[in-house]
Amino acid sequence: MNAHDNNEFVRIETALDRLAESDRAAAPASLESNVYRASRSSLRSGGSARVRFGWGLGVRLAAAAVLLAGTIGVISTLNRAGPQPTPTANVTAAAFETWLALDDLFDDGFGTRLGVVSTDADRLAQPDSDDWDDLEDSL
Amino acid sequence: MPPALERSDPAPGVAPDDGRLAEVLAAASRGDGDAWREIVDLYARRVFALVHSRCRRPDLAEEVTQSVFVTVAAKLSRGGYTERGRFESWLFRVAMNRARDEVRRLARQAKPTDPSAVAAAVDRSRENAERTGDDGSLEALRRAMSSLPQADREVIELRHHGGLSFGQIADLLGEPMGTLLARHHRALRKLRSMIERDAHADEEQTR
Repeated sequence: MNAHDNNEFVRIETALDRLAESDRAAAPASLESNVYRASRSSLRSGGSARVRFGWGLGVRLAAAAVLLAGTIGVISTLNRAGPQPTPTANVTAAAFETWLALDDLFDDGFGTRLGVVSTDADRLAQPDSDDWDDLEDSL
Repeated sequence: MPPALERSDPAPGVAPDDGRLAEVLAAASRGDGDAWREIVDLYARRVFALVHSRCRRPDLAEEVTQSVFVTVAAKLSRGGYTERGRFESWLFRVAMNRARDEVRRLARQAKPTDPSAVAAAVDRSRENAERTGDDGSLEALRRAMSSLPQADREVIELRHHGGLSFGQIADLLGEPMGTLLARHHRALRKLRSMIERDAHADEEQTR
């Protein structure tokens, strides 16, 4: 690039600065006040609005409550029904199924881990299970 | 409230001290209205200029500027600003994206030109030229800018309208500094040749 080119580029850059200045000058004098007024409430509410309770979450919470009530019902029934081959494992499996359903509702990926635990619980329910080592690994 | 920021010269490369800017941002994110006002005073006009350069409508440019600052305020409050030390790049990325969206929306809603709207635009342009003392060369430059490819135009606008340094622009666009400098140089060359071609055409017409 020679000196002439360089001068030309400086001239264009100076003109671009003037163009930008003219665009800034096109704003109303009250621009900053207007922007401040429009955005101030977002700043204030932003911090306290981390969790928003809308219909979606409300419905999911209600469904979760129903599922929990159902689980308690299953546990009570099993406890009243007298001795079972492996009552604890059955109760645990029922509880895990509920947790899985809850996890699906909230969709946070926790279900995969609960699924592993649930499978392990099923295997424990079998009297001849010798998978203790696998279970230890998976945990 | 941290010590007041000096209003920065919007010329390229001039930015407030990073440490003080971080303090003011932290105060604003805690809901400090005075700190937020400092941020708005410092950047609103630069964001406006960037958007106005695209849409050429002050009312729309102001609306977009407001929406950019609403977004930024909400993100600051929720801890959504995680790029510490790169506030300007982040702010102008939001502004550039919003400006692009608006221009696309306007293009989709384009209607046959109303003669009264053309007359109003001419008047606005004339008023603007009188206010800035433009002899027509700025309008020629603006026409040349609108003919630049999108990527070249963005570099020019971020540099001159946004007042960002080349480092900040490289950061914003995710490009190596060398590539960016080459693109800026190429854009200047294109602008020069388009302006020269315009000038020749005008000369031919006046003969």
